[in-house]
Amino acid sequence: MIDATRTFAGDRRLTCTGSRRRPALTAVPALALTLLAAGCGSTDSAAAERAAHFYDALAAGDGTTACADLAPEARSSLEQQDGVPCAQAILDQELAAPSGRAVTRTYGAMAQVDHPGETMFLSRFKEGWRVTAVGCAPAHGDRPHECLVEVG
Amino acid sequence: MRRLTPHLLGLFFGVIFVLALVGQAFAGWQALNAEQAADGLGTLSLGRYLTSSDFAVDVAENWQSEYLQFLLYITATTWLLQRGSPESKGLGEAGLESDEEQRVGRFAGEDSPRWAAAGGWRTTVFSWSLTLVMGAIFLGSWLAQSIAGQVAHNEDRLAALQDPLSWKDYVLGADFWSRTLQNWQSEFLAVGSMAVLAIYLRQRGSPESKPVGASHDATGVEG
Repeated sequence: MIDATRTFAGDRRLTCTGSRRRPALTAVPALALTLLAAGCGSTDSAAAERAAHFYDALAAGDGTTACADLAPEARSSLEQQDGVPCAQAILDQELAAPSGRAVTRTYGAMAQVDHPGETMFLSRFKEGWRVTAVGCAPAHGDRPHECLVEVG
Repeated sequence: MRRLTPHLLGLFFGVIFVLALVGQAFAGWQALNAEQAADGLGTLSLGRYLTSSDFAVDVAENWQSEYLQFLLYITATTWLLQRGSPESKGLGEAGLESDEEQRVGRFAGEDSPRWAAAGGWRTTVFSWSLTLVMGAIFLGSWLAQSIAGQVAHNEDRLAALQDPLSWKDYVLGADFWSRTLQNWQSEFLAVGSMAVLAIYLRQRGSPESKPVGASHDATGVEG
């Protein structure tokens, strides 16, 4: 698993925990290699960068750029919900600017970027990471986050 | 072809293993992408799918259960007997048997493997080598299942806007044990039914069966 911990002050730390430290995997080297790729292969911090790009665009009042960071389904869902173009609708959500340290967790083609009081979800598309949900309130246990903007 | 004849059993299973794995890869890739597209999420290239946790967990969960099946069968048939089954040793032969019966140490023959004759720890390790290797592959695959399974499960959780689970929470949770036990129960059923059905049923020419004319009570007889 990749656990990318990033602060907006520029302090970025990437740690890889799990499969590399488990000697029993040597019993099945082929599978271990696959797992290494599966669990530790995506060392990109692109999800965290996409999240920062989105929040920066919102802070600058640039709805067009923020909408380009959304997953297509999230974009159309927002437009349907508000009945106005995405660039306007996204600014109307008045998403709070995140503060504090961001923690990014990447699992395969999905990622979560957590700020205190604000959570974002992303999915990896052919074009790169895109936001599938944002403006998500904290959730506990198995309860899903409730988000202002989300796919579907 | 004549040179291959003594190796056909291994080759046959090697080839159908690769064909099945390739088929699983393509079918699993299509199935995952169909789900991703339906959820409005990104789809994966075949290369990404092959190195994904989704593919790894599906492979590992089956590997671990198969190796557990054979591990248990190898060890259980050492001590447990089944009257009339060709999978069982003869009644009264339960256990590790004598050095003479096992041809180890001073009872080793000229054609015996070196470590069977060596005595000491080498003979002990060699005496258990099949169990040790099958056990190591089982544990490695099961661990691999837990690691890949955690990533795959967390992908699903993030798609459902839930928080991810730690590895510890995952291996104590329902998804890990559901994947594990659904494989175990089918392996235990298959191997148990094989041991019992072979008491009464036959396959002419197969070493897994008694000779067709052997009595139902004949134990430890292979055809």
